[in-house]
Amino acid sequence: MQVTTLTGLAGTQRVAALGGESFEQAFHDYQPGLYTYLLRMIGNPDDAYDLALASFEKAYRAWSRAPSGVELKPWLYRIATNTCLDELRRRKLVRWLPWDGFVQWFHPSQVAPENPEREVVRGEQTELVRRAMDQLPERYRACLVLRECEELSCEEIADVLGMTRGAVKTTLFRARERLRKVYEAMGGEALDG
Amino acid sequence: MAERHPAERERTRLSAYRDGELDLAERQEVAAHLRTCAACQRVLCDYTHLGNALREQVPVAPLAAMRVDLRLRLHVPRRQPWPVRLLPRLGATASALLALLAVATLGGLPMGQPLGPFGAQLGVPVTASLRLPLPGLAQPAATQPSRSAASARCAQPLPGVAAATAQRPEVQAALGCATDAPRVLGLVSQPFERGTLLRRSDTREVYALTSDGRWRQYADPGPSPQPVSLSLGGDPAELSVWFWRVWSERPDLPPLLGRVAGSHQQFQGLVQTYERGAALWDASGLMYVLVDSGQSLFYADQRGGQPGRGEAPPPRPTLEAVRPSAGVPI
Repeated sequence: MQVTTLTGLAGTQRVAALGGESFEQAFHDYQPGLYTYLLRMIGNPDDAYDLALASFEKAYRAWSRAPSGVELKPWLYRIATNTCLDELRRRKLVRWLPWDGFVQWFHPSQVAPENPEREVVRGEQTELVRRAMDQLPERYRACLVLRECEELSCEEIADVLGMTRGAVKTTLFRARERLRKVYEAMGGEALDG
Repeated sequence: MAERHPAERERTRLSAYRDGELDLAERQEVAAHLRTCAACQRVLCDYTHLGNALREQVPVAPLAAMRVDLRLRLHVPRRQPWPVRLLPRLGATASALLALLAVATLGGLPMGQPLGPFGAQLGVPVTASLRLPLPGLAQPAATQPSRSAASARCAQPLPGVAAATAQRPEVQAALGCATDAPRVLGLVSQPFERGTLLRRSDTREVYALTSDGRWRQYADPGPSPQPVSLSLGGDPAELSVWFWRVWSERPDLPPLLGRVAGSHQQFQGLVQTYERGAALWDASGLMYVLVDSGQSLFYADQRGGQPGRGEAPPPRPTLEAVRPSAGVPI
């Protein structure tokens, strides 16, 4: 099997930066997370793929210029977030795209359930939560996804989004409240774990 | 009217509690309250379950494909911002206007008079080198565009072609200008005793590149409908399913290429059309240059990929190593 490496591209950027981690290693470690983050943000698998590619391209080109001591994960997520928000602004999207990809790819019927009825209900609830996410402002959405799905700390989210830690905590609270209300307004039933 | 419990302040603390953002004393206080307050438990449950719903069933990212695509993107030259792109044109336009003004003012050329070719009207001698025939061209030299005119409308060449041109200017002379931007396509290649078979996905053509520096083109009849397990003459490598049909339907191919010399490789790649040929570049770093006259050239991009685990390194011919035999004028 042929292995394609990324680091043989430009000698000056082959130098390990960002705490000694190579770009190759960073791509390997963060590509799945960054892709799923962007998928959750934009809701469309093709767009998420393109945005992830664009994000890694920017990261690669900025690799040797990254400030010393910068934390890799927030740095990469900041690039991805800005790439995503720029794209949405470019398209003049007021609202988030629907989560068609999830519905199409991960229909509950594709999962072997222990309790079929319960799994169907749960799948519907999950889908409704995702539709409710469509209604949230982009900052709220980014905050929630970074915290709940990517498990970034409030400090890291602040770094990614260019906010203070206090502002992140407030935004997270407001995002949860808004999501709760929208979910209930859409007829969402009590979520079970 | 007082807000119903939990009020916004308490809900804010519950959100921070979930995120681990409270100090020890606050955390203990909230935990103690939660043991006795059903309303707060409900809010915290909602936060937790909404978060869990967001996390569910995450797709797996297509790591291998993205790696190849990223590598391709990093090899395609970025488009310059429009002010940078326009600068040369603006400069040329301004120079021409200034020259016209100078001649009209100093030479007495009446304004508004139709102008012929600049060289003739303004008495500017055309540099002899611009009219020199380029080597290896089939067309009469008089019909060839000048280097300056050609380079003015050239698209940015593939990096591999640019590197080849730097080493051997006759490559550009044979190919001419790039006429479009590089496009992504799928490539399948397989080495033989006396050359390589190459299939491109966009036009479904198969090329036979032979070690004498020539190439032939075949229409791709498609892959074999059945899995093929064919060992040619006891070779360890098998003929790729992609080439089985063209191999069996074109009797000139077996004597032309000889036996299979290695397993097939399948890559995404880039193709770029030139005035007199095309260049194909695969993600492993191999560049194939096909000139309309029937000449071919291939070489390894030195920045290319690495061989896979457990495999012998594939031959990495340099430009000089694969120079066609003497007498082929490329």
